[in-house]
Amino acid sequence: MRAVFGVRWGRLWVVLVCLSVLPVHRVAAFGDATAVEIVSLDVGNGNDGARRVAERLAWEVRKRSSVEPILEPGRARLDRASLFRSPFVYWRGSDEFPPLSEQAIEGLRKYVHRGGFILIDDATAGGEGFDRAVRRELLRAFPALPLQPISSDHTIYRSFYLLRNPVGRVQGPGFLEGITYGDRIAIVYSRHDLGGAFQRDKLGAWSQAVVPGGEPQRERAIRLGVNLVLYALCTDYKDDQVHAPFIMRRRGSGR
Amino acid sequence: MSDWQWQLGVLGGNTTAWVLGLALLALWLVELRSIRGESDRKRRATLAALGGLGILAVYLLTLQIRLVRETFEEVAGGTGIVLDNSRSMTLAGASGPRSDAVRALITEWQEDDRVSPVVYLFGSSTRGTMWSELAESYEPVDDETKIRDALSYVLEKGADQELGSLVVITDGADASFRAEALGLGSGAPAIHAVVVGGDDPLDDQAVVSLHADTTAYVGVPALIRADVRSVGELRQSELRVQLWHESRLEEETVAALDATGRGTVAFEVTPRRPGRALYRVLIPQASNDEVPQNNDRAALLRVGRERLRALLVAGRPGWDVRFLRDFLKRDGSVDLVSFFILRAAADLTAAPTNELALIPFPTDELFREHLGSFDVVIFQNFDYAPYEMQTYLPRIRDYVQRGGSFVMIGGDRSFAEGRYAGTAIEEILPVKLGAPGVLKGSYRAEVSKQLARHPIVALGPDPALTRQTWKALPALHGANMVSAIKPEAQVLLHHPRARLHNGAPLPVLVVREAGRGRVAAMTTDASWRWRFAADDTTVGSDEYELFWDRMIRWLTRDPLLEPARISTDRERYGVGAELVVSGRLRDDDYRPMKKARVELHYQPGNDDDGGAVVDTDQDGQLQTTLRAPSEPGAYEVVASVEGKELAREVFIVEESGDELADLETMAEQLQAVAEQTGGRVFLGTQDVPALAELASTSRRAAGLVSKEPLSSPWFIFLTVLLLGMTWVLRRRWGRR
Repeated sequence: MRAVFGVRWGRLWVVLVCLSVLPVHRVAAFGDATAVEIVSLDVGNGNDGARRVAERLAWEVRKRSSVEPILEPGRARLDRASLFRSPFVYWRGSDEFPPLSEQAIEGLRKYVHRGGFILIDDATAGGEGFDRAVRRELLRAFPALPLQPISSDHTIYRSFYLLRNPVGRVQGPGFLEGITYGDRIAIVYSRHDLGGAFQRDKLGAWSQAVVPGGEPQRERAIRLGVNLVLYALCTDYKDDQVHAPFIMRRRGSGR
Repeated sequence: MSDWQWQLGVLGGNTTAWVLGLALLALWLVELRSIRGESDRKRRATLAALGGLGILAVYLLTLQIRLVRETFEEVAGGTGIVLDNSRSMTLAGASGPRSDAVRALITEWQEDDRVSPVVYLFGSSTRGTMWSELAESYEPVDDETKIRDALSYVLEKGADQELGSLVVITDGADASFRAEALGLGSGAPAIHAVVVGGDDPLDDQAVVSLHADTTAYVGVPALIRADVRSVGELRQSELRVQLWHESRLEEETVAALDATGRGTVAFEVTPRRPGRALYRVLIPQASNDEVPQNNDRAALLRVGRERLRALLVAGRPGWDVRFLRDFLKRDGSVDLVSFFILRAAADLTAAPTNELALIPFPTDELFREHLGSFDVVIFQNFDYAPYEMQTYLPRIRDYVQRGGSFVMIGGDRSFAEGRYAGTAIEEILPVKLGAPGVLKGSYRAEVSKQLARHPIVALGPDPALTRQTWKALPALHGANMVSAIKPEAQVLLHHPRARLHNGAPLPVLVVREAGRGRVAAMTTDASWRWRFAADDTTVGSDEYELFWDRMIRWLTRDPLLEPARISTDRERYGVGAELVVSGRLRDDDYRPMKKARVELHYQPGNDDDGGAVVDTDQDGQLQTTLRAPSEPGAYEVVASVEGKELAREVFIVEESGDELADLETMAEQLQAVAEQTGGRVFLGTQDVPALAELASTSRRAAGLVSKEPLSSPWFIFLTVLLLGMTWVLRRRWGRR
C-alpha cells in the first residue's frame, strides 16, 4: 500500500477498525458526583482487593450495558460521610473482623434507609471467619430483618441477563442471601467469591481459576455481577408487566 | 283578696319599721314607768292603754302601709301568615294552579279589615313582606321548601310581636319536615295550616332523587341510584325507568314500587374517557302526568383515572432514574409504565438475545397507540435520535397541547445534548436550547423570590421558610445549559451563580403552560441527592418526595394545587334558583389576588343568564349569590379577571330540581303541629274561614291597683283623739 505523508493507510485502517469496536468511553457529562460509582467498602482490616474488583465490575458493566459507571471508583467507610457518595457499596472480605463501632452500625442503617445497596462478597467462599462477622454485624444493624435466601425467580436473576442460579469463583450454595428493606433487596450476600471471578492481573489475564465450571462459569459470574449492578439501579423494573411475556418466552425457549 | 300584697311606704322599708317600732315600744315603756306612782289601778290601766294605742296608731300611720294588686285585660292577639313561596306552589292540579288558589284566598281575607296580619314568605329562606300587596305580588320562585326553618324563624320573631296565631299556607311538599323538630312549648301561638292542594293530590311520576359518586374512574363501574315515585291516578306497582348518556339510551329497567308508590333502581355505568360525563335518568312521560318536569333528572360524574398514568423513559439507568422510579412506584396513585435503555448499539453483551432479559423499545406502541392514555410523560436523560423517534416528537407536542403534560429531566442526553434543539419538543419546552453545553460543579439551587409560593417548590409554610429549606438541601451537581427562557415560562429554581447570555440566572427548574398542557424542564440529574445525601444537619428525604409529588400533581392539574378555585354551594339547581359561588383566587405566581374585580358568567350562557361582578377580599376570597340559568342542562360558572379566565366549576340545572322532585304533602306533620298548639288544618282553600276567625286573643297586664287604708282622715282623727285623750287625762289626774 502506498504511503502518503509517511503513513501506511493499510495499517491505519486496522487501527481505526479496532478503535471502532471498542466501547465508546463516554464520561458522564455532569461529572463523577452524580454518576454510577461502585464504591468499595473499607471496614478497617484491608479489603482483599475490593477496589480492584469494583473496577473490574464497573468495566464489565460499562462494556456490556448502557450504564456508564466510573472506572476508577473510590472507597468509603461506614462511619464517614464518604459513605453517602454513592448508593452502591461493594463489601469484600475474607477474615473475621472486630465488631463495628456504633457509629458504623448507625451509618449502615442510614445508608440502607436512604436507598443504598450493599453487595457483600465472601472471598473465602465457604470460610467461617468473615461469614460469622458479617452475620453478627448485620444482625446488630437490622435485628428485625434477617438475611434470607433469595428466590431463584427474583428480579436479580433477570435484571439484564437471564440467570438461573448464582455462581462465582466457586460453585458455592445455590442461592444468594439478602435483606429486604421495604419493597427492595437492599443487601445481597454472596458466598461464591464473586469478585474472584472478575479479577485480572496487571497483564490482563484472569487472576484465579474458576471451579468447577471453568470459563463458562466465569462468564456466568460476571453476568451475575452485571445483574446485581442493574438491580441496584433499576430494582424491580424487570417485574413490570410489559417485560413478562418476553421473559417468559425466552425462559421457555430452551435455556 | 289573695291577689293583694302589702307594701311599706316609709323610707327605709323594713329596717325603718323595726327601728321605729322598737323606739316607740321604748317610749311606751317609759310612759308606763311614769304612771307607776298612780295609786288608782283603773286610772293607771286607762292611761297605759290609751298611751299604747296612741303610740300604735302613730306607728301605723308612719309606716304608710299600702295594699297592691296587679290587674290584666284580654286583648286581640297578633296574627301572622307564613306563606310558601317555593316553585311547587305554581303546580296545577285538577282545580288549577295552587298559586291562583292562594291569591284568591288572600284577596278574600284582605276584604275583611278586622285583622291586619304580619306576613312572611318562605322557601330556601324566610323574609317579611307587605300584607296589602301580597295578592298582587305573590309569585313563588324559591327552589326549596323549608317549613321547619320558616316556623322557627317566625316563632322567634313572634315572641316580640305577641302573635296569638299563625296561619301557614303551603302545599306541604317538604319531606324533611317533622313536627317534633319544632320543639313547641305551651306558650306557642295557635298554628293553623292551609294545605293548598291537600284536597287535590297531584297525579305524578317522578325521579325523586339521584345518588351517584361525583367522582368516577375510566373503566371502573360506577353506580347511579335513583329513587322514583308514582302517585295519584298514576300509582302502580311497577315503573319503567331509563338511563341516557350523550343522547343515547344506555339501559332501561323496571322499578318495583311499594305500597306508597315509591321504589329504587340502580344503574351501573362504566365511563369510557376522562372528563365530565352527564347521565340522565328518565321516566317516559304518561299523558296524564301533572308534573312532567320531574320525570328527567341528571347526574354529572367527574371522570378521572383511578390512578395517574405516568410514562417514564430513561436513556440509561442511573441514580436519578432509580430514585424517581422508586418514588413513582411507591405512590399508590400513580400507574407507572417505565422504559429504560439498558443496552446501546455499541454495548457488547457477550450473549445471544435469548440469554438477555431485554425487550425491544416499543416506540410505536407507546408514542402512537397509547400516548393519549398517559397523564404525564417523563423523558429522563433520554436522547430520541438512536431510536428513530423523530416522527413521534410532533405527536408528543400535540399530546401536550391537547392537555397532556411533559417533563424533561437533565443529563448528558437531555436538552441540547439530546439534540432536541429545533424539534417539536423544543416548541413545548419552557426554555430555548441553543448549542449543546453543560455546567459542572456543585451548587445549591435557589428558589425564585417571586415564585416561592408555587406549589412545586413551596417546601415551607411561607416563602421565607421555603427559601431556608432550599438552602439546607444537599447540593446538586451539574446542569444542562440552555440559551434562553421563553417569555411565558416561570423559573422556579435557578443556579446561584451561573448566568445565561442575557445575564439571567441559569434555570434549574422551569415550568410553563403549553396549549392546554403543562411542561417542566429540570436541567439537573441530581435531585436524587436530596433523598440520599441528606445528613443529620440538612433536610432532604421528605423534601425529595414532596417535590416530586407536587411536580406530578401540578403537571396533571390536581385541583388542590391550582392557583384559583371556585365552587358552588350545591351541584344541582332548579331553573332560576339561587346559586352561591365562593372561592379563592391567586395569580399565576400563587399570590392572593387582593381586591380584584372578578367577572362570573355561565358557560354555555347568554346575556339573559345571571352573571355578576364581585370583588375579592384581602386574601383573594370571594363569595356571591347568582341566579341559576333559566334552561336545564349542564353548566359551568367561570371566573375571569380582566378577561382572563381563572377558574371554573360545573353544576346542573334541572327543570324540576329537588323542589319539584318529591311533592308528597306532609299534611300529617302539619296536623300534629296544629294539635299541639290548638290550631286547625284545612285541606285545600275551599273551606278556610275568614282570617278573623283564625285570629286569637291574649291576656295582657293592665297595671297595678293600690290603696292605703290607714291613710284615711278617720284613722288620723282617731290617732289625734287617742293622743289628745291621753294628754287630757294625764293633766287632769296630775300627771305631766
